[in-house]
Amino acid sequence: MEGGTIGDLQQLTRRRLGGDLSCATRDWSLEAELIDVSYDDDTPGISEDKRFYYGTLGYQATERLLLYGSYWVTTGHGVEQIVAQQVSSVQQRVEVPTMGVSYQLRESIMLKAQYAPVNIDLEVPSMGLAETIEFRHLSTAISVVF
Amino acid sequence: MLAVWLTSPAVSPARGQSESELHIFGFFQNAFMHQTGYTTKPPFQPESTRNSFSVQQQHNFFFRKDLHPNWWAFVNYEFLNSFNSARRWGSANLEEVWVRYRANARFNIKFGLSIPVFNNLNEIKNRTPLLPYIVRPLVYETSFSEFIAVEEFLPARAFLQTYGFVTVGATKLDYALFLGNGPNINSDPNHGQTGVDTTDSFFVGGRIGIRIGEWKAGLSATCSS
Repeated sequence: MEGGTIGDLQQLTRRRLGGDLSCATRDWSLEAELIDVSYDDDTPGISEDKRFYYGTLGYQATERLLLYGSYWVTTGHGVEQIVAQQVSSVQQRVEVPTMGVSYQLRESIMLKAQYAPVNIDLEVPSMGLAETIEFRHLSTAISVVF
Repeated sequence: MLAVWLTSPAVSPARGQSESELHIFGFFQNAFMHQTGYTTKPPFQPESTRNSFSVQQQHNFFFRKDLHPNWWAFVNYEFLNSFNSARRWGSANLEEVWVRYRANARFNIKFGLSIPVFNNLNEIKNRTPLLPYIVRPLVYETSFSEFIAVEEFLPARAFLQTYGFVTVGATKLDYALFLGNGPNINSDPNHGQTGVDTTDSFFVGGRIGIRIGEWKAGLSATCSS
């Protein structure tokens, strides 16, 4: 919406709808979720709605070693003040395929590694602006219970 | 054993005892992160690479005391992102403070600040030893809250929650209902008490689910106005 003001999300009715599905056998596991967020915003051309979904497939290679692959996506609309006195609708999509391993070293110590190439697309349709951000993320971790 | 300990502090006092000792436990996850190949299109900046060690999210402290065979109290305190108040790093959050009454598997009720049951991962998202991920699925990664509005996607705080399951043959039917503040929480000390709802609105939600053998599925919803 051009020439308007940024709507306060806290003033809008927000609804979330989610679905989850999971299954676990001795060697394989599957998890998937969907979250849909919608706002009661009657402003034409403006939306703050968002969506997230992911799916993970895991394989228990040994009693202690788990391998997994996962895919995450968030899509969302929002408003930003790109230039003074004017707000614009912004669309964003974040896409992350990822894979990793976890190894249970002891009952209370877990070692983990994870790799993810990240892709972020941002677009302001009313201003013809678009940007893509890409990077690769590698992490290792130790998780401890005490 | 680890899963039982972390998902339901289930070590109950022996029958006949009214109170148990205070149990203190927790976990943490220390991570090393390497980011490479950071590029933008169009190219606003050159490709970059960076590394960082961090106490990535958690450090969680749990305090639990069984007040009675049917009542127990629980506190969950969380530190995020190498928390350091002097350097303004990370954050410290009171995640859960509740007392629970359990009548049986069909009926449990929590009074106080709790994590709402929503989808599969919300309740256990900060139980990092149970999860294979270092970085959790995006909206569940609380350490990203500084740049992703994770609270728009997930309900974070309920103040009254009831839940349980009903067994029908080999099938378990789950339910959860919760109530909390509306989104208009005051964060400015110049405008009065912080952390309180400034309106008369509420946030309500719940989940219904089904478990059959190795399968589990559910639908969750919330509404706040």
